[in-house]
Amino acid sequence: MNKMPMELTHAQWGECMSLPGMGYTRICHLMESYVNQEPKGDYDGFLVWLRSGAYRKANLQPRVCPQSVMERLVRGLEALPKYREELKKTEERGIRVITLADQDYPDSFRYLADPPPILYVIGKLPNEVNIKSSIAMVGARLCSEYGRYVARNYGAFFGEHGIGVISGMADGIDAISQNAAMLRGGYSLGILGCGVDICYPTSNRALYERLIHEGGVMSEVPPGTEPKKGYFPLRNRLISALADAVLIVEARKRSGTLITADCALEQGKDVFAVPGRLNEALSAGCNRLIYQGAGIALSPEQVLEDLYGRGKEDSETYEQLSFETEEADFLAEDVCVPPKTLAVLIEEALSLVPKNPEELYREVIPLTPEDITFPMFIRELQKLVLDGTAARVAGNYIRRSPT
Amino acid sequence: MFVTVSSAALSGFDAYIVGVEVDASPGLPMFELVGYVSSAVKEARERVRVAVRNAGYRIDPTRITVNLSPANIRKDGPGFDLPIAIGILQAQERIQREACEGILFLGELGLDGTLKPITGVLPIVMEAARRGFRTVILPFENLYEGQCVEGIRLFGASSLTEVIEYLMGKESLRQELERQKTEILRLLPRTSRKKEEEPDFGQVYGQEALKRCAVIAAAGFHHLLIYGAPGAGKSLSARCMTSILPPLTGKESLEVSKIQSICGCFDATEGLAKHRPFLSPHHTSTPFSFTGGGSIPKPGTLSRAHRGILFLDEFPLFSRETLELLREPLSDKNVNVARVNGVYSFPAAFLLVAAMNPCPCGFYPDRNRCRCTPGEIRKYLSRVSGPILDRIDMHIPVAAVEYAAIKKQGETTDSSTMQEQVIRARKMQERRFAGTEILFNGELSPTKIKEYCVLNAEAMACMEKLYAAMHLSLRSHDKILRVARTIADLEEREEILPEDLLEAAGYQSEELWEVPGNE
Repeated sequence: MNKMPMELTHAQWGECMSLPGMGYTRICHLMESYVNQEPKGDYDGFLVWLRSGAYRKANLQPRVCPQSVMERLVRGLEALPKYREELKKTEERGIRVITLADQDYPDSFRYLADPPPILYVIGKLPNEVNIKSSIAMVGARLCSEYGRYVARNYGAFFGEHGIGVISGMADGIDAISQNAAMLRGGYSLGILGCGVDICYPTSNRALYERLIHEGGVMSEVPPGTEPKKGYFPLRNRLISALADAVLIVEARKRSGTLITADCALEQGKDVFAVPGRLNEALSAGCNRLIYQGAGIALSPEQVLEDLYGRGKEDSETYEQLSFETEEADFLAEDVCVPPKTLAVLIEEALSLVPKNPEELYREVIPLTPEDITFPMFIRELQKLVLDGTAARVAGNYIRRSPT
Repeated sequence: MFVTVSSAALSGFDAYIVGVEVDASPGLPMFELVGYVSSAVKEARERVRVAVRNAGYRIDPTRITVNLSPANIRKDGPGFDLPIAIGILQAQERIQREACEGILFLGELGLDGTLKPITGVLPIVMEAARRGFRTVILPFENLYEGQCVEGIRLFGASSLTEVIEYLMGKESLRQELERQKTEILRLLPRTSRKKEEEPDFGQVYGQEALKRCAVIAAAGFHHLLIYGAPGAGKSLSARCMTSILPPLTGKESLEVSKIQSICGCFDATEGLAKHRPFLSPHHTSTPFSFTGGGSIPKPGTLSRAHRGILFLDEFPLFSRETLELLREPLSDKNVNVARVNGVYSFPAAFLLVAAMNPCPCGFYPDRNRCRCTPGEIRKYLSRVSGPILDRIDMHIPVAAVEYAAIKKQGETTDSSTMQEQVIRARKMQERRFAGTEILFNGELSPTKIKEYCVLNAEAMACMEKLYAAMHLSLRSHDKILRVARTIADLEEREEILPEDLLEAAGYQSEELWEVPGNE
């Protein structure tokens, strides 16, 4: 637990943090040195100590506070009045400013090696909402239909069952999961790599609006900051810190998503990954995580059980997230199996990977007893679209998901 | 003395008769050429003067005035050289007037007096025949083209001297000369340029879906959009489509030949055109090249594809302007080019086959290879506008063929089988639309669809379900009916059954344009 060398209001604390080059370590060091020199000093005295150059007399560690940095810092003191004005405006806009010193500050961040000194929040934090816990859901931006289906499923389930979904509001898996949760009346928090008042990417405007009104949006960079590449890995550590566990839905062998998994491991959080086919690049990262010891995510129920429930003793109850099939799980050996109809053969050939009709045709005709022409085939295929078993994506056919 | 010699010129798609009026009167020697002529025509003065001298005749030093009538239509091209020369000789009484009656003259003169070929001969000879001329004297190389027209005598001369000889001779000499020329033509060795092997669907392995769509498209004249990853055989299949369209009728062949003649690319050695044109312009084509033009308009790409296939590969990469030009021919079957002196109309009834990728890299929705963001995909697809898509009745996705299919040779449907099916379906349409202006199912407008594509109760119920399940629009609804009508015709069935609708619905890909977002 970090203790402040001085008692500051959150406004004063915020001011310090806004100074150029000021980070958590540096601030503490400076304040300690100041307090050593002037045990009774207060915040204003601290500022004077800095401005007047009196700090040079204190024994500052050159590593922590090198000369050049200090000079820049002192010059930055000029900008303080402007900062105070900005802060007022921010608060007027309904953006909450929460500092390390505040009660509201999420406890899970305090344990980080580099906790964000100031947080900007619109909406509600997880501990202010009636949810049991939260799970982070992250994944590839350019996801597949399979990833879309899984993310939607889990997001919806969590939303319905009082589990918050924390993510980064990025395209693809992030946004799909968050949308799914919110559309079912659940709670979601988006941690951004830009200022909380900026909606990035712009294609997620609708989600952003939902989050600021019914969920929450958070950032450690000040409002108005444009998104920058460097901010995204940083906010990933916050995503994993705030959640109880991290669920990776789809990730390539080398991807930004795996950074979040690393952060989670460093923070001692549970990591779950959704398995996938061996020839799908988007499942390579997830499968690898499972190999390295991450939990396997077979269904939302199972993930929650693993996290909060009895544990893995009753493995028969874990059913894979699957489609409703009425077929019996086994066939008695002496029962005569009738040849499958074309419709059934086609249905079995469909999967969550989009397939060209020509491809499907080639897969199915070796299995049919009679000659099936292409027109006959496509009619059956379209019948499956009619009754909801199949869906079309860019001219290809996939198995339709129940949700 | 004043004489008139007949010639002809092109105006857009047709030819018209030009009266070459020549007057030779006393006065300071000069040679005046008028009649709204272009500078290219004006050059005739130099050529004619020298050619006549080199043919062994003299032009008297008189005041010569030549007028090309009607004088309000702009004339271009070197084809007036011969009639002007003959006119001058006639005006100077070196040739008798009666000798030139009922004859149309045509051809460019070289300085040595040889007669050189010109373009656009076919429509000109057609017009001459129509207007009752007895004979056409034209350059020998153009004799092939001229012979495509029945009912008119032709003399294919090689030089001015031969023409004069012909004119001065009696009827028997004339016939003998004509016959000689025809004989020479017949004995000429055929040029070794054999028509390239027309691609046949038998060379395309697998691709049953594409072949089926090709048959339906050809049968009912439905414009087709093929989309899929690169290398799937879209180009080859489009090329093969000419081989399954029914053979050209006489009327169609004449139209195609005329257009080729005007463009100067009519190979008449085998008579009128026998193969349907296949045009595949590059996507950097300018709008001008599509419509055709020039001050005396010549046909552009769209018209050159008349009665054939226009294949537009990389469809979204064509400029918006160029694609917009497709609207007119797709609905009216012709291209209108407006000029100061009038609107010229060229026929352009082609079957459009468009090919495109589903996304800029071409591999969507295979996320193993496609890294296009939804935004990039939408931007790419939006280049194809709604009104053009509305005219395309069928969409089919194709994928690269697997090796197993290539190995399994000998089982592929070939073009002649497919063509038979197409012809059968066409016959059904002929019977159905006899007496109306409609030719094919693909042309049916929404009101006509109600008339000709009647659904029974069962089919209507199926249509309703399809409409709901696939979130169709009204346009797709109409497209499905048209295509289903053709599918039924292919089975020589008057009734449209639910299975026809199901199949037709399979060839609609509206959802291609609905790129999944984050919902």
